[in-house]
Amino acid sequence: MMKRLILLFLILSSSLGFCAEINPYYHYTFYQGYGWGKDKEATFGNSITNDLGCQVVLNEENTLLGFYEMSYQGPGLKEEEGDLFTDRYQDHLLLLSWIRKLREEMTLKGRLDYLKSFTRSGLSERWEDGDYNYDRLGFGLDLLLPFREADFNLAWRIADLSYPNYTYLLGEIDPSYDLPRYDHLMSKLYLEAKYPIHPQITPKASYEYIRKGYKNEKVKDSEDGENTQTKQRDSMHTLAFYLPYSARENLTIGLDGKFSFLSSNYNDVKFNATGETITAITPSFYDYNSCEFGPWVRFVAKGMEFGASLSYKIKDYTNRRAEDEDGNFFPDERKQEDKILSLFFDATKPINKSLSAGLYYGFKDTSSNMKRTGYNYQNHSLGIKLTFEH
Amino acid sequence: MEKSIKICVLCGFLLLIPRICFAGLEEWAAEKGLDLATRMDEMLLDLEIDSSDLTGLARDKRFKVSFNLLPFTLPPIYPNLSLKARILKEDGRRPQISCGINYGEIVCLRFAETSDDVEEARAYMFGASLILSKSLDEKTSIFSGIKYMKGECKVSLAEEEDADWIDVNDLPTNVEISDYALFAGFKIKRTETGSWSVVSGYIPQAKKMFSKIEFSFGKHWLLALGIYPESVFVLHPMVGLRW
Repeated sequence: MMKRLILLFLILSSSLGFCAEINPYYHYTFYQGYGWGKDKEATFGNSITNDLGCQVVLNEENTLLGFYEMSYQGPGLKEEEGDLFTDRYQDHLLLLSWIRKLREEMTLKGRLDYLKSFTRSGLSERWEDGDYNYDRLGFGLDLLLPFREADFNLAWRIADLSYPNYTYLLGEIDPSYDLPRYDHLMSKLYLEAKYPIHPQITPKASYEYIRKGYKNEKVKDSEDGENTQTKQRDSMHTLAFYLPYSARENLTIGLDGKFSFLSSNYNDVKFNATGETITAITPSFYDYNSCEFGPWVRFVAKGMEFGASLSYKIKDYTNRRAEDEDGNFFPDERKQEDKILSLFFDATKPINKSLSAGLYYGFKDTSSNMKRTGYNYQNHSLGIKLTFEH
Repeated sequence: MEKSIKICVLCGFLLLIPRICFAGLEEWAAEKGLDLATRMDEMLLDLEIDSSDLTGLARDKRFKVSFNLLPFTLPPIYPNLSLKARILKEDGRRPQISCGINYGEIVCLRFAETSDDVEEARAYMFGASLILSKSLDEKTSIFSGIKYMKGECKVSLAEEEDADWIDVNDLPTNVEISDYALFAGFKIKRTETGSWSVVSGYIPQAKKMFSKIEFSFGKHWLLALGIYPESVFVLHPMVGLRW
């Protein structure tokens, strides 16, 4: 029934969209790449992003924006910790936004969004069975505030995320434990400022605070490893800057930087091989500090756009100890430290005003004193990119 | 410029060939053969989308007939035919409304039926679609629609003569398909008769995404690339003819 209602809504909305005076938006990107690297099986991977939107101008002050995004990301293209190279993702995002001009150049945006995300670790797993599948229902407000020559953006978001398939293993024995572990409420505060310090330089700085409150995941005591009644809470502060310099009409260079600090009350408990004896407790297991810097350059020559970027990231865990290949702590109890170096080159050729084609090459070197599988690897990717946009 | 685009597109197609040829042909063929036998429903959906014409009709056209020549009709793997007709002409705010039907069949299975060992062997798909399209300016148009697809694959042997290691009836080759797809796309007129177009869609029941990029040239010719993430064959390069 629900599927039929969604279908009916889509047909009606697209029909209405076509019949009303609207500004449609369409964007399609396709990547097809080949990835290879040290200690890694070479793979072909692809990704598709398809956006369909429309802007309905109600009057001078009010505008509505409807947007649907469907995206697929193939194996070998995502890099987050804990993800496997075989993981693939499928997302569907519906967004409805209302934009209101409050007064001269000051704008308030409200948004309601719904995201359905599917993950699967291989072809043998069905999309609907993915452990990390989730639904997100979100609401947000943005205030765009120009002040003299500067532009400010204040944003607030709240979202309810539910992971229906990621439940406690104990739930198979005791139904009272059959709860979705990852369900959480997320809130985000974002502040951004942009100010032209020179006709060719307009730096941007931002601060972001994210807080996650888990609904069911209870933390373990950092002394005895026993379950407590306290639920897991994560918070993350991120400071970022973006410094572009338009050296010439066809040449822009820049430097980006980001500092992140994550803190969580999650304590990790490690058991022996039989699972009966606690061998180690790591308090605040997820806590880390990271910094990232990256110079980049973009230039246009002979009708083509070229880009190159370099990024270097260091991630220091506050308490998590590094382990050897067998999962044992090193005798000096050193803390885990990850270093990630990324290089990216791309060349894009606009074929007409809506269509462009390009080539890209990326290299990533991840090294860590954590010697377990998955923390030290090199990856190269080479591919083509096609973009349609209106 | 025009020539260089054609050369680029042709090179793109040629670059796809090593993806098939140099991956260890025997292993590759065995793996894909087994994949096909176990994921016949997905493959039939892909073929159905390949043989469908999902774009809107040109403003001055009332009908269109099309089929995919290579690699589905020559060699005769999946001969197919697609017909499209305009129901309502685009007028002011009203979009163009058109409908299409298409049919395709894996004919080599019919040849298998002539063998005494095979009782029945058929695999076919047909589809019906409703398409709305709207011009954005002289050269570009946007379209969306819904498509219903139905078909089946039936393979049964006259006698139970299975190999020792596998029971033919255990393979999910006998499937019935009844599904629908939602799609949307964008078309850019390149010359008087040529265009670029892209269409992307989703089959909700199968949770399957698809995409098709088309480049038409001359009066009747079309190069197309079907993209089916997670399928047995992810990329389907095709040459089609249209009137």
